[in-house]
Amino acid sequence: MSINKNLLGGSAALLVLSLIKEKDMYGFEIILELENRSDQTFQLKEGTLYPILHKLEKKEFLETYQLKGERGRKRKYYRITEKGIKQLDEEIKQWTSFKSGVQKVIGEAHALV
Amino acid sequence: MHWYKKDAFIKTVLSKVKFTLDREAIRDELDSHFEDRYHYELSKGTTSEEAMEKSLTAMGDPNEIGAELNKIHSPIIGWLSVITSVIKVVLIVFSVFAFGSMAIVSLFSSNGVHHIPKDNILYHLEINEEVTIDDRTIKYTDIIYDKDHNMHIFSRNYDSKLWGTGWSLGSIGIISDDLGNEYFSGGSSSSSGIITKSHRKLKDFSEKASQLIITYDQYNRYYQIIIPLGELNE
Repeated sequence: MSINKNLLGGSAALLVLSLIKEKDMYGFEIILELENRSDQTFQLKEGTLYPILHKLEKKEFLETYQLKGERGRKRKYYRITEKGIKQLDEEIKQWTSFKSGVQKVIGEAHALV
Repeated sequence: MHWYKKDAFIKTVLSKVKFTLDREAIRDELDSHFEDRYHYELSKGTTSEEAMEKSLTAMGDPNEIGAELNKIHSPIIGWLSVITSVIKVVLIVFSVFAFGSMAIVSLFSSNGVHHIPKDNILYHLEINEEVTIDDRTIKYTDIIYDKDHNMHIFSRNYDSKLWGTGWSLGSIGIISDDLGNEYFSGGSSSSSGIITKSHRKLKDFSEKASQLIITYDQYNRYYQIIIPLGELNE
């Protein structure tokens, strides 16, 4: 099952920050990691990842540096900042309470059936 | 090869980004992404043409991506930050230059002693009396008595804080001698930078006096300096 981009909307930052917190990554690496981990649930159009990354960088949740890749081309790596780690904690809290809220409603609705 | 499709894609994205200074970085990043995806597809055994088509499809709509990037790379914020960085650099360069040259000028320029012709000098005392009021340090350096009975007092004062709060020295205090005469000083001061040099001239200073007394008692600040005077070489 794949989820469309709009549904992913607000949680995109949460997913991206979580991945980058584990290790510094470049764009394409993040795409592959997202696909693999979510069993293809999140098939983000690749181009839409960059506006998300750039926004997180502007907000100083991420910082960047360049390294050369296998074919000698420079790659832009993203690294999480202290501010980004705090933001991630906040987003995880919000997500957890959102999830449990949804769960309660679904649970009760099913119980009625 | 079908790189022209990739180039066209990137061109479309960039055409939407109004802040031109960020375009180069975006181009590099997308370019490198394409290359990674393309080689990834090739490694799965696709043909070059298929690999390029897949890479393009995976990317999505260039107009949409460009519009999203344009929101983040806003020209107003972009140019503002460019302008502020330029201003910062200019200010730093300017203050280093201005402060540095002022410091050099004020440290090496003469304190005005040589303006009095040697032939007119009856005696010249080099002294080193230092007093501090708040953040300002006043150092008396030279006392010169001339033929016309003028007493010259040279001092320099500076703020002990680097960029002082602008406390300026209105008066150096009441000047008198050990005989009880008080003198009103006419003076000049030159403030070239961090150190202000001051030259006070007391007219008709009594040649019988053997002490010069400077008393400062204003705004609850007090100091007194007593300078023994030289013998008149008559």
